[in-house]
Amino acid sequence: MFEDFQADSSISPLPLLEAKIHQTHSLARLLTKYAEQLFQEYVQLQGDPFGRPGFSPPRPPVAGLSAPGAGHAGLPLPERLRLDAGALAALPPLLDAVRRLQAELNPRTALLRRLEEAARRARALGAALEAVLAALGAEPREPRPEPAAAAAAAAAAAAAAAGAFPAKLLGLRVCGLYRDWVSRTEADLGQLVPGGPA
Amino acid sequence: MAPVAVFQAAFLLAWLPLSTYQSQAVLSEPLSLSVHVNLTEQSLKIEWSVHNLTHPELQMAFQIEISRINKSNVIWVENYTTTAQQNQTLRRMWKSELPLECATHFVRIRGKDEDPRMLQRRVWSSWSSWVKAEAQSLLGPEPLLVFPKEKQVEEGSDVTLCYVSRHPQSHVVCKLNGILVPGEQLDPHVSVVTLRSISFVSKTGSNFFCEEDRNHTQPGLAIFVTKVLEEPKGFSCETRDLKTLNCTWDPGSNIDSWKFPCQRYTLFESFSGGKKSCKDKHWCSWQVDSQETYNFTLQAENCFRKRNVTLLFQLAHRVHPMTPFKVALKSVSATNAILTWTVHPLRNNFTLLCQVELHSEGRVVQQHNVSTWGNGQYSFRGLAPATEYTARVRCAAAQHFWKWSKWANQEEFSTPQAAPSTAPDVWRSVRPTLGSCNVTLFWKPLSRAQAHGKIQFYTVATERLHTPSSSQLFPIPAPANGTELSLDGCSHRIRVTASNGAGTSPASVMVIAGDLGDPWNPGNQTAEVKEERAQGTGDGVSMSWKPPPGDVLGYVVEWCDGPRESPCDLRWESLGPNATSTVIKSDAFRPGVKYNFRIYGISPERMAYLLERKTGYSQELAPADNPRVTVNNLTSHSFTLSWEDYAADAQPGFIRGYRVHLRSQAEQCLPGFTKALLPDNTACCKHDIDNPEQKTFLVKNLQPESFYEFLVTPHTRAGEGPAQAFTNVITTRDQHPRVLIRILLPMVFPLLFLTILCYVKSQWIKETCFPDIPDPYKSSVLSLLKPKESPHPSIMSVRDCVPDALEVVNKAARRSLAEVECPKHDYLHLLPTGSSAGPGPGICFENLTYNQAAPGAGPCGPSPGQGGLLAAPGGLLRSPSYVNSPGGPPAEEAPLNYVSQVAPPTSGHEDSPPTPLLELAPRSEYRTQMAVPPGLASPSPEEKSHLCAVSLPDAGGHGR
Repeated sequence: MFEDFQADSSISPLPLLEAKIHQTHSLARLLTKYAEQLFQEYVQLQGDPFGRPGFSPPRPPVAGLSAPGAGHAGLPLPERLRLDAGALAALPPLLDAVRRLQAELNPRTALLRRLEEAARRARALGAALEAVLAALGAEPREPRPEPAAAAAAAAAAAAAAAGAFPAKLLGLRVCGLYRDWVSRTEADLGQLVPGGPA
Repeated sequence: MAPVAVFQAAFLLAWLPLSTYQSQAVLSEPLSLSVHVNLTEQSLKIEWSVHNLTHPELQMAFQIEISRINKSNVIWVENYTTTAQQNQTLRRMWKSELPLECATHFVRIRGKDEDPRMLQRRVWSSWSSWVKAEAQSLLGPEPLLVFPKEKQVEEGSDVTLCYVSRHPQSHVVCKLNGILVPGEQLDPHVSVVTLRSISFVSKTGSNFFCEEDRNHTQPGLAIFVTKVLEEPKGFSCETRDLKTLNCTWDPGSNIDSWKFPCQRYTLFESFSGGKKSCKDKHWCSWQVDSQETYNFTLQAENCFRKRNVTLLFQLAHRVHPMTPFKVALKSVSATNAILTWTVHPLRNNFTLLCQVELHSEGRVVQQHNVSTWGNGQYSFRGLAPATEYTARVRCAAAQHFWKWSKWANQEEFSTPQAAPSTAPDVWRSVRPTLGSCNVTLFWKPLSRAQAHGKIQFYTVATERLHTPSSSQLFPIPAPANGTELSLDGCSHRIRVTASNGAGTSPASVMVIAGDLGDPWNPGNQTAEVKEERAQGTGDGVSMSWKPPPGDVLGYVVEWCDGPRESPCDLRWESLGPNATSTVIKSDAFRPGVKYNFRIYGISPERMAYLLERKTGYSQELAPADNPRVTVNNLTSHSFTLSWEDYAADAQPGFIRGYRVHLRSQAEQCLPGFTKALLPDNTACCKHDIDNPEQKTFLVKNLQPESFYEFLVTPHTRAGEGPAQAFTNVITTRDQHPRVLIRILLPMVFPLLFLTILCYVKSQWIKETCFPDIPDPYKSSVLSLLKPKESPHPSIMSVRDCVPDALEVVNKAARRSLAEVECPKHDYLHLLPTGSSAGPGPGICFENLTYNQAAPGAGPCGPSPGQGGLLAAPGGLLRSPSYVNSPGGPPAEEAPLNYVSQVAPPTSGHEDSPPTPLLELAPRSEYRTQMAVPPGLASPSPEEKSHLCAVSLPDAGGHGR
């Protein structure tokens, strides 16, 4: 796969591209760990039953961002990377919206700082992934019909209006998506790294 | 019937006008009733207006009814009185416990005027029509909904929730914080859940959610529980500058929810009427003006209740001064220093009390109070040279103490050095050698209070006693604590001084001499000082001594800081001249170790002389082992215990005695023993030996062949030796049989010898005493019985007898003695004179020599008159009717019937004619001279006619 991208790439020299992929993959791996920590801290602060293993509320799509599909792994790698980049671009405003909701429910907690850091890291990883895609000569992802920030704000407003419990559910969903997409990105980038899974 | 009809008509006529008047007071029903649903507050806003009022303003009463689900189910009735105006819109708010989304509500209203100006009778108007308040139409398309969206309640209150399911057949379960809570069905779609006495769980709220088996949706809500508001505690106000009051309190465990924070605190002052909302839940400030007295009320408030606390005080009584500043020290000398400081200014003439402290080595050495209203200062005196100090100061209101200020920054300083104030404490060890003297000097380092600085060196000066000019100096750098000198002879004066950077200490002087004899008791030598015991105190050894007769400068107690067998680590303690006792303490003392002490007196010439020797333990311990006991002299009733080889001196305490434990099967203890319990609660008998020198013990009064157990334990002041196993001993058998054997054996042998001797001599005795054929001539008995006055033996000679009859004895069959009868005698009467052959006087002799018991029981039985006499005690010898009784005729004169007991004369007898006698010889028989029982001696009736006279010797003859 990496060779295909190399054949298509005529912009970046090979070592630079390889370093970029390594760096982006390392960042994705780091964020995967942080995303898991964020998810655990989030469910612990929301009270019972959020921390219980059997608690699995429905997962409706959030502001046009869905979880990685079951057929995601079957898609071509460039398509998967483009989907990863799109999700990473949609996550920061959602994380910011969750942070605002949690500011009412759990003020003066470290969760707010972690949510803020998560949004910033998602942006950084998305930008790095876009750069890799650009270096590989992949087509840019399709523009969103509406700005992600506005969609996230709308989702947050709806959740807040529905009450604290739906707001907690929204945060749970967003933190879960953040964890899943970062992990998915790490796995997809891993296929570009020499020695990684084919 | 006519009068009744008339009455009815009259009643109707009277009632109709009255009813017409009353109808005039009835209001028209309130118009424009409207109901608005507020789902956020779960309330109904009820609005109505009244028309056609008779006055511009009229006091009116209204009654509002609210029904749920259907109109007939009235759940609320409220009476409301107000002043209404024409066309005015009136409003009431009703909060529903049940979420409005879960049930349709209906509202109606009626009213009446209550104005005192109206004289009509007040009657309710008719009800308005029901107005429906429905929120369910506002619900979304979700299959399962939970209401309300969120809830804020006080801890301990009840909460009513509900859920709406689109599918009546579906199964819905609801949980609060993961715990299942049951619901109560309100209608086929709606169920109500009531949470009783809800508890606070977290600030982020308790999560309530429901699940429907049909579509797995999980709608829910968060319930924000607020703790019940507590009364503020510790409400207090104070001022630091007389310009601002700072009030503080403890809000307690008032926990507000994060989503709905509504706690607030407000300060009210009653004298000024002032009010201030506090920004913090712990404190609030208040600006002070000229007011001197304040009465504050602190009001705590949250969404559910309010709490108040009050405080009344004088401002001057609540002054908490600020921390002094500009703290400094000046004029610091070896013993003095001055501390200065500044306080924040308050009002004029407001006096502060400041406390100054001086610390050294972590403790307060001086503390003083100083009054001031501006700059303060204090002069410390009596400081120690070369010492580090820390000074600090704090202040409070002098007149009305409230609180100390914080301590000002501590000021550290050091006093300069001074010359050491005390001579070193010096001791010595002297070892005389040939021509010289090895002296080892020891001294203790001066304490900080004595050294007044760092000691740099010590100086040792020696001089011979008799030649003072021969002085020598030995400077020894610190921190040495001794030196060794080899002096020329043992008569020297030694001076030791310590020097620091500021000077030299006084000298410590001692004199050593070759003769270490006791100056107060010249004959007393060191070796002759007897060692005595000292008493341990647990952490030291207590001892006392007798002061010597002369003057002393002091005493020195010397000891080795280690066990006896270890190298001596010499220690000493100097004591004053008045001391006669002391307690020596040392960190090196160990329990159970014996230490030796020497007590010296220091003479006015500064010579040390041994006064007493002591030995003792700082703490005695119980003996570590028991003596090895041997059993000696074991007998049936005693044994001896011995433990001569027990080393009492090697024990961890002075042996004060021994205890002998004895166990046996007997219940009672032996004499001298008492009952005791062993550590294992077994019983035994014990005997205490109080003399530690006694190392043997006799256990006596024991039973033979019995089992005994013993144990000997020593004891010190600290306790007894270990409870080890007992030793068994069994007493021997009883020794009485042996004693008897020892006694009897010597007796048996002589008896046996005598028996044998008797046996051997029996023939002689027999022949002597009772021969088979007695021969009166040979009888030694007769010889013994021979009377002195009778020159002739009373033995009748046959030759002297003139036989006059011969008795022919028919020898009967041999019979036993018991059957002996007086045989039938055939007498041949020998009539020398030819007298008739009939009975006539004759002489019958019987040898009575061998008749012991019944002389009359012989062949010649007694006469019938004599039978009783024979049977009587005493026999014939005492019979007065006997033939030879004193009253009777003499034997020579009485006719005698003699039966010869002599063997028939042999043929060779020279005086016996052989003829007739030879014929009779075969029939003659010798009869044994045996005793015959008196009864058997009774003569037969036939024999009565043949009475025999028994002749006895005369009084001086055989009859005795």
